Amino acid sequence: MIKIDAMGLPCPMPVIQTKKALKNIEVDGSVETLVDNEASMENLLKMAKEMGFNSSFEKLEDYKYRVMIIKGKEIENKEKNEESNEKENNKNKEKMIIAISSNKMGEGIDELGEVLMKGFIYTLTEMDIMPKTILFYNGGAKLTVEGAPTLTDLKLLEDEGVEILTCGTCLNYYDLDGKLGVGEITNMYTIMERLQGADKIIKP
Amino acid sequence: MKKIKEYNVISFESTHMAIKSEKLLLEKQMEIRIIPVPREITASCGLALRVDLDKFERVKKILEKNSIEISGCYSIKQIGLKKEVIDINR
Repeated sequence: MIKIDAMGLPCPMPVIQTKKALKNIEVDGSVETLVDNEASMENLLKMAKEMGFNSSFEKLEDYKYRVMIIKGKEIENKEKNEESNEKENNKNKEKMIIAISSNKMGEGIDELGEVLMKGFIYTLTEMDIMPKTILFYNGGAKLTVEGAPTLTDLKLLEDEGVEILTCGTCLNYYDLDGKLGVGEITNMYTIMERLQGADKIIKP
Repeated sequence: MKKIKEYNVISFESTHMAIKSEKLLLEKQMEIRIIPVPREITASCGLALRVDLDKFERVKKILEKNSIEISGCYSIKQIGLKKEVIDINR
């Protein structure tokens, strides 16, 4: 077993270090990572899930979490199968990603920008074509938290199967930790993966 | 099964009036939403208020009291993505 002390490390360092360790160990080996915040813990569990590995976590004390990940078998095959299945399903479906980097749409007066952004997300719920993922980062993170006027619409979109991802670093910066109201917390790696995997990116 | 939603829409002469009315109503704890004017309605400004049926009369009164001019009122029945619009302005 490999132990990683990622306490105090900024996101996404814990994920990077853990991923590296998992790559280097044998099947059935495990990696134990210590982190000091919930967002990092969730990112680790999510990474494990995406790689098809079993994982568990434990809150040791305030600001101390332990995540255990066990490297599974035949991940490469599994990944390939999933990929080809996905390709079959999405043959005629473009992967559309919407990247929202502010709680305002466009530049000008803030008041108008906020109204436009609310309108943008509302209108999205009335469209035939849904994006695969909506990414929220920087000021966009203010749109997915409790009390945000956009929350109802985003929950609707999530029910329709749209993946809603919010940057954990940004939630933390704006002091919105623990206030996420829809979707999941993510990191720069996933944001990069979603953007790179997109057929079309929309940035309002 | 397709979801059916019913609500009222109030349109305005200017964007400023729409934003002003949103502010005013939210201050009065009225749960309304500012939305882009649905395509089915042709109005001079692109913003409108979406109001629940049971709050419509109260909202109209508040706007009247504060002399905010409106340009139209509509009742909307939405089935899935399709909208049926009835002009209820008088």
